[in-house]
Amino acid sequence: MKIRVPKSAVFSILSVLAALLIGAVIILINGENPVTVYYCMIVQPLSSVNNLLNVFYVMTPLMMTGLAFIVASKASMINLGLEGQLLLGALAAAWVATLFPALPWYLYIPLIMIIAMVVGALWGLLPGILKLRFGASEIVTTIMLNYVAQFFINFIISGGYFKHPDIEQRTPYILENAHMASLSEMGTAMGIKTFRGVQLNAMFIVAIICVFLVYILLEKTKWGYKINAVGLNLKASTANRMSAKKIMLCAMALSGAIAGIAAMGEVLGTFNGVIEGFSPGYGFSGISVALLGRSHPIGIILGGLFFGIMNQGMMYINANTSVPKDFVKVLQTLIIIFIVLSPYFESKWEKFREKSSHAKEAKAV
Amino acid sequence: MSYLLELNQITKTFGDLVANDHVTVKVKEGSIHSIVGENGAGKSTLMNVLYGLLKPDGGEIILRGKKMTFTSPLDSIAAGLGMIHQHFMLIPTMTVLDNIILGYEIGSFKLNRKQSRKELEPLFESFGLEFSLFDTKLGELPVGLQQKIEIIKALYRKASLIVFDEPTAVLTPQEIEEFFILVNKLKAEGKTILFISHKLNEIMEISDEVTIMRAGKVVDCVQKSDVNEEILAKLMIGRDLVEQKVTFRENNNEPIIQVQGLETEVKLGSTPLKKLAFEVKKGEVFGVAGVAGNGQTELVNILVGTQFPLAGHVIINGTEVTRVPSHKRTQSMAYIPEDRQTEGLIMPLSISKNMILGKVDLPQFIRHKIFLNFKNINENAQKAVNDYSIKVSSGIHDPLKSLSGGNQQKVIVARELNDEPEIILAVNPTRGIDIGSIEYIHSCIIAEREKGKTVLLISNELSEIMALSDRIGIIHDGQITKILDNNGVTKEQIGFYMLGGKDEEKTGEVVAG
Repeated sequence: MKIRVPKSAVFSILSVLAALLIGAVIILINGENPVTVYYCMIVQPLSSVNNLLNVFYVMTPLMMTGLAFIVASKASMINLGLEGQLLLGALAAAWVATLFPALPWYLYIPLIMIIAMVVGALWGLLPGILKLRFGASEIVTTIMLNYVAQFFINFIISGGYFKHPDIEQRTPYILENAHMASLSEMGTAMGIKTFRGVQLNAMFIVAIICVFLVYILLEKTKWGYKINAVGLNLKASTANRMSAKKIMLCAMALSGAIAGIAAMGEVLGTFNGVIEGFSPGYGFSGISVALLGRSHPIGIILGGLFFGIMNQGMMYINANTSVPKDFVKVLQTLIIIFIVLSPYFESKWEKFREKSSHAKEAKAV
Repeated sequence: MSYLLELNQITKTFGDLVANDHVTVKVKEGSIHSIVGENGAGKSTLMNVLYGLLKPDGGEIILRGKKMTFTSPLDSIAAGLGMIHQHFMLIPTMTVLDNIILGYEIGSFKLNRKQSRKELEPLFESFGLEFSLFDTKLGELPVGLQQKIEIIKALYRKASLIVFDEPTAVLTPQEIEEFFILVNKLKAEGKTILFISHKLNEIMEISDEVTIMRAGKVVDCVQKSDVNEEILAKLMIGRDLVEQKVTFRENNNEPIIQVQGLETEVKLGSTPLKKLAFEVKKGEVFGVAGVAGNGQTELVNILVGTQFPLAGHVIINGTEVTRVPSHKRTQSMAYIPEDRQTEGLIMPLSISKNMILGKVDLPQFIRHKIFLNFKNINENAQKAVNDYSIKVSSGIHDPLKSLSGGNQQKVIVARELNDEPEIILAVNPTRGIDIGSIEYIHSCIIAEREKGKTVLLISNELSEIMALSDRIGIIHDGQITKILDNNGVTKEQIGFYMLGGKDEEKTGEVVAG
């Protein structure tokens, strides 16, 4: 069977390869061997089952924020406020997770997630309303609202309004029944040592489910049809009896809701609360993942996986080579630059193919 | 007379499509030469080859006896070619003077506007333009004047051969008249004109010679004096045109669309409606004729619910809908918009998905309340493609933008007429499409009329209005100034009202109404 690889995927892969090539030059300038560095970055994170499971853990919030980005962008809204939506969702979750010690976990965790989604949705809705009511560009407002969210969290924690009594810069520990156990913890509880050090928890499965739900929403339902229609041609959609504003607001709310639970694996799992600056910019990495994944839900999984591998690879680069781990960030930026350039090469390629097929015909005649 | 320009055996292919197949056009010095053909006949490709935007696969361009190779517009401009595109290549936010001298500025470091201005003054004078225009922002000028600036720009670059690509498409009838006078003046000054159009009456009015293209080939080259419009039409589409005209019938039905006292706010760039009123009776075709920009856009927006008037009422089928936004309107009125690409279709989506635009909530297109029913959606599209003979390259999943303009328009017509609407609002339904498709869409509108449906037709093409309407309302300056039965009225009578004529000025003539 021949598997048809979409052209856009080919160009994503080429962008990655081009970035790796330039990255190799940078490594050489640093006096290291590119093969060693790339081995650390790409192969080591995959060298054992546990390493791979940790890659899954690292990619989870990136998949979620990437997904959130494409939902908004399909409705032609550029949501750069994923970080803020993620942070406020996290804070809300951390708070709710300290309230109800009597609730069973199977009710409690969904409740926390719903509240985090609502908070994220509202924070996403705000720039949507500002745009549609007052014409304020969402590109600007979403970025600004990130800062509002971030400093609000710092204020709440440092101001002592919601702070761990003994530990600085973090919220109180969440309740036991709100905790998402990692594979490592589950293993310990069952007395097996296989998964030691694996931070992966159930949030990964939630993220995969979200990817498929969003795929179905966008491709198979009438709502998705409307979101796509409004995003591709606002005027035609309005003229054809669609409430464009409502649809755009819904898309922003949904985008915010997805971003709102993006870091649940960290908040309810690893950190048992919110630590100031716990997100290394998941919101912005999500945009990169969305671009690498060509705004396709399945692409999000692959893009997230690759970014996850690279992020895990940082650790090994740091441990085994003299290249600073920030090299990975440079590489990720290069990838995005090539992705953004790729439409140019795509059109060149089209022209080239046209010509060669034409030449073939000429020969046949 | 010698040939100024010879295009010899030009061939250009795009993939499988042969856009120009050994095309030969010879233009005599000092003449007005027209190239006529339907959309997709290969006119634009040929002009882009001539202008250096496209590289031909074969053939040669000979200018004044010399073989030329144009690799970019810079080359062709330097050789004395001036191209006036349908969409002007001007910068609206810059002044007229800056627009003209752009790329040909005088002064090595400091821009010497004074010198340029001095050089341009005689040109402006010969065009009868005020010098004060130099400092006006280009975007503030009416379209006709912008075109003149574009022509002056070409002349300033010492063009001896001026190419007009569909120049009248953007002009009002008055501007078109002025344009023809200007073209003849250019000819008198010894310029050679290449005129690209698909409007036969214009071709007949100004050409000396006409080259007719069809499907990428030159069909014939004729002297204007040897042909008439019908012969040209036949050459252009390759068969006889069927004359379509409805015969007026008396209609005493109830009004189904009532528009009363519509007023809109005064805004830059739009014509406010001033107590605009009319009624459309059930089962008739009511044509609204008028020069573009007299309030048609505002009227249409109010009718479909994307804009609300300051005052007045719109009553459709007995229900007041004046302030009901479009997404809350019922599906009873079909809408064929003027600008299919921005208002009627979503170009990157497939044909089948465009066929459900605005109808995605209908039960036949969904399953379990929310999921798209692809089986029915595809069947629906396939049926439309068959019924309306929409020419697709591979099928209903092709992106809409792969269709020609005429076929795009057919997609809209098919979609809108699909579920037997009682009322059809058609706004310039045949703008910019080929004659074959125009004929077809006209026949669809007539068929709806025969079924007893009501049609409100708003069009800038007077011939279209006269061919299809039972009654004609004339819109001028935001008002319906006159309503006539289409029963023996002439173009001249309608034209009189279109230009703002009033009954009392026109003494001694009785007009039906």
